[in-house]
Formats: sequence, C-alpha cells, structure tokens
Amino acid sequence: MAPVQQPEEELFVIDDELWERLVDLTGGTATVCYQCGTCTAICPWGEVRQEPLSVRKFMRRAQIGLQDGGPSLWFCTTCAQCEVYCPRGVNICDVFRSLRTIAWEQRTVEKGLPSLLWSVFWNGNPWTQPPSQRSSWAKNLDIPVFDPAQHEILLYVGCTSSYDKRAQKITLSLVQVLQAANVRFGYLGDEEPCCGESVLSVGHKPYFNEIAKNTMQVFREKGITNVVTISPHCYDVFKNHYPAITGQEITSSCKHYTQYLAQLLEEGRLELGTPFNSLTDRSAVSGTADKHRKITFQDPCYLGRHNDEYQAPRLVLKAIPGVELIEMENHGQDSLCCGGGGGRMWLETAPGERFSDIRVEEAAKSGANILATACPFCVVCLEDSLKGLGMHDLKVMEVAEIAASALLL
Amino acid sequence: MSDSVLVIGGGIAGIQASLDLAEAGARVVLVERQATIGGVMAVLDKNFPTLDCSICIEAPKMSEVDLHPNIEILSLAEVDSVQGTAGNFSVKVRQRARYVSDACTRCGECTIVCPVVLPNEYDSGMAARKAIYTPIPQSAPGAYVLDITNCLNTPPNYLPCNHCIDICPPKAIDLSIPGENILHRNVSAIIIATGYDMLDPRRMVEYGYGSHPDILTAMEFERLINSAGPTGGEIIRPSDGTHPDNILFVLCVGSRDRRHFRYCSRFCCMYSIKHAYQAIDHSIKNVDVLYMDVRAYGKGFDGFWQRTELEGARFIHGRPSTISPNGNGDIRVLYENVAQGERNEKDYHMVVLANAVTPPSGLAELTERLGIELDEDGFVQSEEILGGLVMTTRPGIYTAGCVSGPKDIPDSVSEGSGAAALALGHVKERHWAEVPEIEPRVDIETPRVGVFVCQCGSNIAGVVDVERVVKYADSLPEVVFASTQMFSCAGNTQQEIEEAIKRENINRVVIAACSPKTHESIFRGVLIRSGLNPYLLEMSNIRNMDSWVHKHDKESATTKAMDMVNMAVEKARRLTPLEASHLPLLQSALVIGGGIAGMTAAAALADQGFETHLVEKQPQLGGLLNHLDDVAPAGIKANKLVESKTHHIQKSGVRVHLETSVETIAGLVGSFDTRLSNGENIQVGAIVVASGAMPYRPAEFGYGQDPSVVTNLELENSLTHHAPDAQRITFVSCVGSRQENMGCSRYCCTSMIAQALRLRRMGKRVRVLYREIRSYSRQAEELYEQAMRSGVQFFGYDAELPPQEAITYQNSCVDLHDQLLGVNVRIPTDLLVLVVGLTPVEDNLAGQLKLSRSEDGFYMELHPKLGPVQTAVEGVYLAGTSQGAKDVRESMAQALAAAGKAGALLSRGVIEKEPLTARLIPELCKGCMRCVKVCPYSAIEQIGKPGKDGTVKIHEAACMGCGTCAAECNFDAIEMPYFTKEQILVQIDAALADNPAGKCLVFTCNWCSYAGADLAGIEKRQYPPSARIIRTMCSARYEEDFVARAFEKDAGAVLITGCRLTETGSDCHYNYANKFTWKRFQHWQRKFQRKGIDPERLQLRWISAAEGKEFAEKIAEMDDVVNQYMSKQAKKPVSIQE
Repeated sequence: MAPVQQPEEELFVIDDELWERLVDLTGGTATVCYQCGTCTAICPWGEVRQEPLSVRKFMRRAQIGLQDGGPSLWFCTTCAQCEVYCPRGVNICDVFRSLRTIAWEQRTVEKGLPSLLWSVFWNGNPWTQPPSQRSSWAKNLDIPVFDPAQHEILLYVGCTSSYDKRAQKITLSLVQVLQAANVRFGYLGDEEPCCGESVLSVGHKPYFNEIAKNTMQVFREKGITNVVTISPHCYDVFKNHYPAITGQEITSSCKHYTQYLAQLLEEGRLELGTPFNSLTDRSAVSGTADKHRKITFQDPCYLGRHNDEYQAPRLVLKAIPGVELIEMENHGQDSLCCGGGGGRMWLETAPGERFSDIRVEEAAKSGANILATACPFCVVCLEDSLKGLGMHDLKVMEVAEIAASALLL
Repeated sequence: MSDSVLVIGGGIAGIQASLDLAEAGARVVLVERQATIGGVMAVLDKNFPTLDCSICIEAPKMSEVDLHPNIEILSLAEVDSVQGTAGNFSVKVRQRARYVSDACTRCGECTIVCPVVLPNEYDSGMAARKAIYTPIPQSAPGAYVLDITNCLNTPPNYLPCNHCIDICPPKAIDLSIPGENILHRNVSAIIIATGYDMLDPRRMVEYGYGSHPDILTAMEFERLINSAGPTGGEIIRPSDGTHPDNILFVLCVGSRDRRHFRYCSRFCCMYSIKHAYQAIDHSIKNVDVLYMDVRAYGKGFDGFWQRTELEGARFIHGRPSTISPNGNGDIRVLYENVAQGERNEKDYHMVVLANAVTPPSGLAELTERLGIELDEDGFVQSEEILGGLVMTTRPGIYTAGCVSGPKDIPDSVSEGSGAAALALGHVKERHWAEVPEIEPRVDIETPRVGVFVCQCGSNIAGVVDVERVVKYADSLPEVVFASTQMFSCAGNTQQEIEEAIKRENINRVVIAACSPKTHESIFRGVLIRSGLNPYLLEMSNIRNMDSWVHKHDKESATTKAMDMVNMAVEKARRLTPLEASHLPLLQSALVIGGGIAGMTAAAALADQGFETHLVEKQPQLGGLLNHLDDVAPAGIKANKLVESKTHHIQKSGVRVHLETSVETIAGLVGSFDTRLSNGENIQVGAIVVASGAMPYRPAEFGYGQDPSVVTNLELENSLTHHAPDAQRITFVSCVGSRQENMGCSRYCCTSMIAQALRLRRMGKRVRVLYREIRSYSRQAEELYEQAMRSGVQFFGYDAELPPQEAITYQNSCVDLHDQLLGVNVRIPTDLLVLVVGLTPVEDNLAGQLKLSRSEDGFYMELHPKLGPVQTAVEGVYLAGTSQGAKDVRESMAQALAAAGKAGALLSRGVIEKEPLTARLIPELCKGCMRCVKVCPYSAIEQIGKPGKDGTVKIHEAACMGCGTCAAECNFDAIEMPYFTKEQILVQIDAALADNPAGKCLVFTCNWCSYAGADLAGIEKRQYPPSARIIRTMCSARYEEDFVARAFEKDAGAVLITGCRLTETGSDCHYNYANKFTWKRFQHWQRKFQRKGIDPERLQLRWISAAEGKEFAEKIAEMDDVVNQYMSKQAKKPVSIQE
C-alpha cells in the first residue's frame, strides 16, 4: 500500500464485497446519506460525552464499504432520534445493526455480547435464566395456556417481563387489568419462545432470522394470530421485522398492550374509575400529601419513534380520574432514550454517561410525581437512575401498573 | 386580436417579457396580483455577486413598464378564465378595486389619519402599514391603495370611519365603487411569470422559527439590511433592539429534504453568502454559515464566495439538528462540523434561515384555468425538447422565471426575454407609439437651471446634508429652482420634477442622485415629457461617488456633494439641445454558430418574420450535442433535440450556411457587413453570437497517454454505441474548472451524475470524486439522490485543491483523502473519467465586433443581472456558452432571450442614433489629418490633401463617439456633443474653485473606470473625499488642455483612468482607443514634469468596471499625493521668509 498524502496515515482500500454486503443488509438505505451531520448533532450521546458518537461517519462507512467502527459502534441505542430529523430518510438504526452484523462476522464485538447470544441459544432468553422458570411469575395465578378456540389474544410476556423481578410486576399488573376487562387471553407458559430482539439489536442478523423463523413456527403451530406484547421491543420485531423474514403477515397486526388497553377503553370493556388520588394509599408513593397526582410520560423509543405510537399510553393514563398528565421538555418524537435499547442493556454504561440520569432530572423538573413509561427497559433504567441519584420525590411506574391501581375494585 | 400578449406576474421576469414585447411593437396586458409590480426583486437589498442595489436597477424598468404606451398594467388582478387557442385566446380578468383614483397627489395624508395598523407584507411583516398605504416607494402603477378587507368601513367592521376620505384634498378616495371588476382581453399568447413563495419555516419545528424573535427568514433579514426597510438598514435584534455580535446563516432549510422539498432551491447559497458579506460589512464580527454544498455556479460566484471568506465569514459544512432559545435570550444551535467531525453546541445572537423556494400560492388553480400542467414539485411543467424551460404543455403559453422552478435574476430575465421571443411568434400586428405630442418649451436660450437633490431614502440623506446642498445649489448662477426629494426616480417624484420644470420654467436640469449609467434614461424621459430636449440633463452622482463612499465623514461628503452639484450646474448651463438621428436598419439577423443556442436563436428570429442567416463551421448543425447521447437532467436524447431543432429551422425558413465561417464583420448596428468564408456577403441589422465553448483539453492524470483515462465527453460519445468494458469506473469532477481564471462550468455536475447513474444501472461500480456537488438546476438534485440511491459512491476531495493535486491515479488505483471520513482511501479503478470544464473559444469575432471578454475569457454581457444577453456593442447579442459555461437548457433559454432582444431591435426598421458623435467645425479645420489617423473606426475620411486645402468628413453611422479625434485636434475643430471642451473645462474649474490643492481631479471613461467608481460605491468601499470625478465616453477624449487647466488652477493631483490596456489586449469599448490615452499620458508626464509638476501628481491607472476595490485603493493613494503636496505648499511660504 502506497499511502497518498500523509505517509503516516493509513490507507483504506475500498472493499466492493463488503460494500455490497452492507447494501444488501441495509436495503441500501445509507446510500442516499449526503453527510450533513444532523444525526451526529442530535444523537443523545452528545449530551453525555465529550467525544460523542459520530453517527454520520458510520453512515459514511456503510456508504463506501469500510468497516472499522471501533468500540463506538456499540454505543448506538437505536433510539432513532436521528431518524426523525434525517433529511434523507436513512434508516440509521438498521445501518448500525448491519455494521454490527459485519463485526460479528469479523469477530470484533464488545466483551459480554457473545454470552448474550449463548444465553438465547441455550436458555431461550438473554438473561441467562433457566427456561423452566419462564412462567414462574404466574405460579399462583390461573392463567390458561393459549387456545385459539377460546382466546381473543395471546399475551406475549417476553423475556424481561418473565424473569426480571421488577418487570414481573408489570406483567402481574397487566394480567390484573386484562382480567378486570374480561379479556379472554392465554399465554404460552414455559414454552414461550424468545422474540430475538436482543439478538437483532446487537446486530446478529443471521441468528435473529433463525430465531424469527422458529418463533413464527411456534406461533403458526399454535394458531396464534392476535398477539399483545408487554415490551415495545417485542412488539417492534413482530410488527416490523418478522413479516419480511418469515414471509408471513401474522404478526404485523401485533399490538402493544397500551394500544390494546386503549382499544378496550374505547370499546367500553375496561373502566379505570378509581380516582388516582386515592391511589396514593395503596401504592405508597412518598410525599403523599399532594393529593393531585401529576404524571409525566416517557415515550419508549420502540413505541414512539419506531412505531409512531404516542397516543395510546396517554389515552390510558388520561382515562384515570384525577390524573394530571404533564409533558417533559422533550417528549413525543423528541423523547430522550433511557439508554437501554440497541443491546445497551447487556453492556456497561459508565456513570455520568447514562441518558436515564438526564431523563429523571428532566422529569423532576417538569413537576411530576410519577414518571410513567410503557417499557420494561425504561422502567429498569429509570429506576436505577432514581436510586443512583437519590431522588425520592419521583417514582417510576409502568402504565400497566398505574392502570391496575385504578381498576374499580 | 392577434396584436396582444398577456403576461401574468409583474416580477422581474414578467417585467422583462413585457418590455421586450412592447419594444417589438406588441401590446401587453400585464396582470399582477399585488398592488405594485416589481415582485421579490423590489424588496431585495442588494443583488449577488455584484452587490448592485436591487431596486436601483429594477425601478427604472418598473417605471419604463408603467410609462410604456404599449403596456396596460392590471394590478390587484387575477386571471379568471382562458378560452381559445394559440393566436386567439380570450381572457377574463378579475380586478379588485384600488379605491384611490388617479386624482391622488400622493400627499400621504390618508395614511397618517388611518387608524388601522397592520403588518407590512413588503417588509416581511417586520414593520407596520395602514389600511390605506403605498407598498414601496417605487410602487407602480399608482402609489396608494386601500386594503378594503381591513378597512373599518367595510364588513365585518361597519364602523363609520371615513378618516381618509374626509382628509383627502383632491377627494381621490371612493369606497362606493364596485369592489371587483371583470375585464375581458383578447390575446394571441400568454406568458406566466408568477414567481415563487417561500416555505413557512414553522413547518420545521426543530429550527425554532417562531419560538425566538431573532430567528429570522432570509427575506426578513433582507429587509433588515435594506436601507428602505423597517430599521433603515441597521441589523438589530427584533427581541431587544441590540446589535448582534454574531449571526448564523443556515442553508437548505426545507430544501433537499425529503420531508419537505426534495429539490435544490438554487439561489439560497448565493444570497446567504451575500448576507454574510453584508453582515460583516455592518461590523458584525462573527458570521458563520452552515452549508451542505456551496452552489456558487454562476459567473463570478466562486470569487464572491472566496471574498466573503476572506472578509472573515466562517463557512462550516454542516446542518443544524435543532435551533432553539437557550433560555438566556440567545439562540442555541446544535450541529456537526462535518470537516472537523465535531459536534458543536453554539449560542448565537441571531439565526437566519434560508428557507426553501416553493411554487407560488394559487398556482395549481391558475394553471388549471390556463390548461397547463404542473410537475411533481408543483412548478409549471416544461416541454424541454421544444424550448428549454420556457415552453409549457400548451401551445401559445410560455413561462418565465421561478414559476418553472427556482432560479436567480439573470436566468429569470433571460427567460422573460425568451418567452417574449416565442410569444412574438404569435403576434401578427405591431404598433409603435407615436412620439408624444408635447409642446416643446420655448425660450431655452438663456439657461434656467433646476437642481433636484435625491435623498435616496437614507442612502444619500443619511450621510449628506441634502438641505445644505439644496441651499447651496440655489445660490449658484442661473439656478432658478432647487429642492430635495425622497426618491427622485420614483414615478410620483418624476411627476414632481415635470411639474417643477413647467412651473419654474426650468430649461436645464441637474439631478443630483445616483449614477447616470443606471438612471439617465429615466430622467431623460422626464425631460421629454416636460417638453425639454433630453440632452439638457446632467446627473451628479452624489450617491455612488459620495455618500456611499464617505459614510463616516458626513461633513466632507456634504462639501463634496456641493462641489459635485456645482460641477453639474456649470456643465448644465452650457448644454445645448441635441437631436437623435434616425439611421436605416436592415431587418435581418445573422446567428454565428449552429449549436443548440444558435439553432434556437435562429429559429426564434425567423419565427418572428426576420430574414435570418445561420452560419456553422461544421458540415452539420448541432454543435456539441452531436457528441452527446443523453442530455441531463431531463434525460432527453441529444439527437432528438437536434432533430427537432433542425426541423424547426427548416420550417421557419432560416438560411443555413454550413461549413462556413465568418471571415470579416464590419459596420455597426443596423447594417453589419459580413463576409463569409464561401465568399458570400451578408448584410444584417443584428448579430447573435452563439459560437459556443470548447471542452477543456486535459493534461492531468496522464490523459492522452494512458488509455484508461478518458474525458466525460468521450465517454458520452462511446455510450451512444455500447457500454464500456471497464467494470470499475471513477469520475473526477472539476477538471479544468474552478482554477485560476476558470469558473464553475455549471453543466458538468449534473451531466456527470447522469452518466454515473447510467453506468451504475449497467451494473458497473461507479465512483464520483467531487469538489462540491452543484446539482442546482431543475430535477438535478433529484437525479443526484437517485444516483446515490442506486449505489453510485460519492467522495469529496479537498475542496481547497484542484483535482490533480488532491487525487493521484496510478496502477489502476485512485488515492485521495476522503474529506467526509477524514481518512485516505484507495479506489480500484479500471476507467478514470475526467469531467472537463468549458473554455472560451478563440475566434476572430471579438476583435471585429469589439466585444469584451470577462476575466474567464468568455464574452462579457452588458450587465450580470439585467443584461444577460446584450453586449456593450449595440446590435450584438450573446447566446449559449460563448457568454459563459452553461447547460443545454440554459443555453436554449438564453438563445431565446437573444432572439427576443434582437427581434425587439429589428422590428421597427430604423435605429435611433444617440447624438454623441463627433462633429466637424469646418472653419477651424486646418486639414492636418491627425484625426483621420487616430480614429479607431476609420470613420473620418480625408478630403483633399493635407494642409491648407484639405479637410475631413466624419461618417456619422460609423462614428461611435469616443472623442479620440477631438482630443487629437490641435485646433478645436472637432466637437464632441454633450462632452464639449467648454463643458469639461467649466467642470474642472468648478471642481477646483475651492481648496484646489486639496483635490485630485479624476478623469474617467463611461464604460470601465466610471463604472468601477460606481462599483466602489455599490460595494461601499470607503476612500478619502478628495477626488472629483469627471466622466466622458472614453479616456481618449481627454486632451492636454484639461490637464493644463487643472494644474493652472493648482489641483493637488490629476488621475487619468480608463478601460484596462494590457500587453495582451484592451477592455476599451472603442477599439483600442485607450492606446492613445496611454501615448498622450506619457507625453504629458514628460511635458508637465518639465514645467515643474512632480510626476506623482499626474498619474494614469486603468480601472475595469469590476474593480471597485482597485478604484478605492487608487483614490486613497492619490489622496496621499494630495496631502504631501498640501504640506509642501504649507511649508513654502515659511522657506520664502527664511
């Protein structure tokens, strides 16, 4: 290699094959990028790091066929904040996932990520939990296994909401709400397959495709057509990624539970009549002197920006008497990511670099007492930040939990 | 009736179309939706890159339209329906009432008493107006208009207000007239020129427009820097009235954005550069510009960009993600500096958004009524194969300006003329107004001078104490009247002058205002309408050459203005009436060059009914198109285009001379005598030069030796036959363009992208190495996006370097530093395509036609904004790439424009010759024949033998009026009308009447150095106030007696200036006449040195029309000379005493 201008600088040879792979993997989405840098400027990493993530340069690499992202390739939380403002409509998250796919092929992934894949492979979940314990949260509940003849919907619990102690509360609350509305639903118990979102988010596309096919096979065999998920992440892969891989549209009608609850409310099947201020006694929110409950809502990236659903969770919250819904400075399509997407749940984020720290401060600034959200990742990250920052006047709650508290009992 | 044309829209494109049509004898119905014509150009401050004052150059045209007997302006009107076909349309127009009749004296009382305060649309809502108001000072037709929807008297208010009606002295306001009138007109053709709107930036929430008062649109900023705007030209923050220390300009706001408008808005880059330049000029220290590609594609654009950068503007490649109030009164902007790869969060005092150009509101409805189609972006759809962007989908209906997509002023003007040329093809009957029967004023022997001092808003009055100047003028001999005016050129003020002339019995008029180069014809019109001979006018340029250049020294500027007025009055007292002569004109045209421009021009001329000759060196027509396959961006087949034009040429009866060149051209406008290489002689009245350009022949990248290196044109030629064998193809842009004297070649980016896309679709691996992608033309940005999407890879090389320095090519590999990633990359390449620029053709035309060339070697147009196809030589027009690099579409538009202009000249059959030609005073002639020897046009014939019995004859038709002969004559036997020896001497005397030693007398020529001095003013180049400027047509007019008189009067210094004369050529507009200036100057210097004049005190400096800076610098130098002389003089008496 004879370097051109500065002999000390490395010379990168354009790799046609790699480029074609990338075009193939991304559907060519990065080719139209004209390198304006809007993405880099809007990326939330800029809020927490001196040297932020240069999203633009990753697009450039994909555009000309260069792989050499270094560790920052794994920073992207796939929050899609950049996609909202991209003047060329580049599917930036997918470019990151594809660059990560190449990194898997080249064995240049971050420490800790292979064990995530192995856990999915051996345990059917990314949390290194035994498959036999998947439905242990439902031990004392009488939840039927899904039967297409009887049930309107399949409640797809997902790995995090099955195993994580905190997230299980969401599941239990949602079950309570569905039962109160007399919804005929079933679940898959220990046989529930992993949706593979964690695998996709860290970019192992071939393995994700395999998972998707297997999961779809299970759904098909069990006659499942109407899926309601707890996590927006599961919802997103079912809705947006499965159909292309499996060639079947079964999951494209999948719903996030907030959407389903909003539908139940509209149909009059669900009533959330207990005034929210009486909730304080039961939910033991600190500083309960304030009877008027102010709730602010954190839009999960995969419900909001990825799927354009900003209304459903707010409709559910607003249906509860006594709730005052207030918005944080950044909300809707500008909602700040909790930092848990894109595989970041399985990677260490240095203190002081956590988006959720900024987010809870913002929530506190809004004057809310409750920071509501509708995603298990968000709940986990935001609660961690509250604890870490020692903020006691704010409580993180899932919409399902708030709804359960407002059931007419 | 087949004698009329309907023009919809009174912006600059519509104005140009109307004027050309009317000049050619067509009747014009000009329908304008607003209360005044002028369009966007009327509210702009300056035009790029020349920094011409926009309204200064447009107002004369507006007033010409207003006054033209062939033009009917229907303002506040819209086209309601159109029936019929080409040649016979019947049009229904709905016109809203103005409610103010012609009885209005424009006193303005109504506006004062009107209680309704509304945002003024002409100030982008940044200032207020009343419900009865005048839109802009130069408003035409009519000044005042009543905004009935906001008037309190009408629904929904019903308040019996009547304030204006009660106070109006002539009772010109009438609310009882019908609010709307339906008018019917029959026309033979229609031109739609309804301009554009701009994106409401509120649609881009992330850019914060509306959330902070100091986030402005470009148009709001334009009004802020306009001296006629809401702040009198001061840049202040709307939020708190303070001056910002820093400003950010943001480009591509809603343009090139799939969420809003995919296309490039074309002119925002340049006006933002202009804004940055002006902000610095307003002493704002930190000026940043966020850009994506700087699309500086026009003549002189790159230079202007560089200059703005040198002045201190920071150009940052990047695009903001968010713009929002920072909570402390300033504005926070988040962007990535792409070149540095840095994310920046910066606070600014002011942010200006270059918001996208959009189709004008209501265009969809209008085009439906007209039965023409829109393109997918909502602009008017063009039939490109027939007439560039000027032809719509319906015969007989043409477009001009931005209604067919964004474009800047010269392109709009070209299209205006071009549309006029095509429309004239349908006009069967022509009319010319009779010379107005105005009773000539009698008793003009004894001069009675009237002096009118223009304030030009605050342009003059903000610096010069105009009242003092008026008072002073009043004290001068034979001055019978002196007054000051807000805008002397405004239609209403012109009327004031007319009235004053009549009332005060004025018979010599001095207008102390701006440049005679832009406004003389306007004021001559005033004299004509007043019954005065138009040559009884003298202008004093106290704006460009005084107030604009001495901004910080108001006292000296005022004194200088008084001197200048004195000089003008002295000259005016000696003016005599001059009569234009009517010379015969041949109604035929010669088009030189049979490429697309020449073919288009020739066909359009023949369609207008003129005998037209088309001369082409090659054996077939088509020029460069014969070597092309596809024409980008529209993807038209080149051979189809040539075919359709050839067919048109045959049909219209053009006489084609193939394999022929022009050998000699003699004569002048009206009767050019040309000799062709085949021996044929052709006499024509007008000439269109369409001799084209040459593709640059590269020496870079081993071209010529290495078979894997080809030019884009060779590639194009081969694409007509087959796909190339090479798999990996790499394009290198800007080979031979944008270096040294060569500007941007305009056509190449788009054409290169089209080729790249084609090759990509053949499955090739295609890379484009670019300096900047300038896909500015219609559909070109979309093509760029398509090429990217299909996998063409684009690499930006170092924009500071020419490609041969930024890129290396060896062993089938291209190496470069990718600016976007900041790394060195190597691209395996089988075929390297050099995208070559266009270079000017060396031919014998320039010398023979006395055409000047601009710095890049292309023929120079008359004016970069408003005279894009005319030349300084009457009767000679430019079309296509001979004027400068351009693409096929632009060449066609310009060719049509040239045909329109030439057609307007030819249609009357006679030409008026300005009475500025040399006149012999036979009784003084000694027959020395010196004049015969020096005349650059051989216009003086020797009669008899030299000496006692001999004399000379001056041929008026051949004389161009330079005055070389008059300066050469030792016996004062030749007089130059309007620039007589006596007139110049009294100007010298007046200039040096007071404190002569402190002054530098500057002799200028009309075409270059005076224009350069004008430009120094336009560019606000500050220089010392010691200069006193005298203008004649040519520097060769200046004679020794003038210099002698100046030193006799103890002038501090004398500076002779003129068009540039170099070893290789001359810019002189009189065929090298300035070489006599040079000769004489050398003689004078020796002679006056012998007389004891320090040679420093007599200097010569060539100044081109583009050298405002050089002019200002030279005057500063001369000021030092003057000061040295003064201090020497001051010491003198002391030494005598010793």
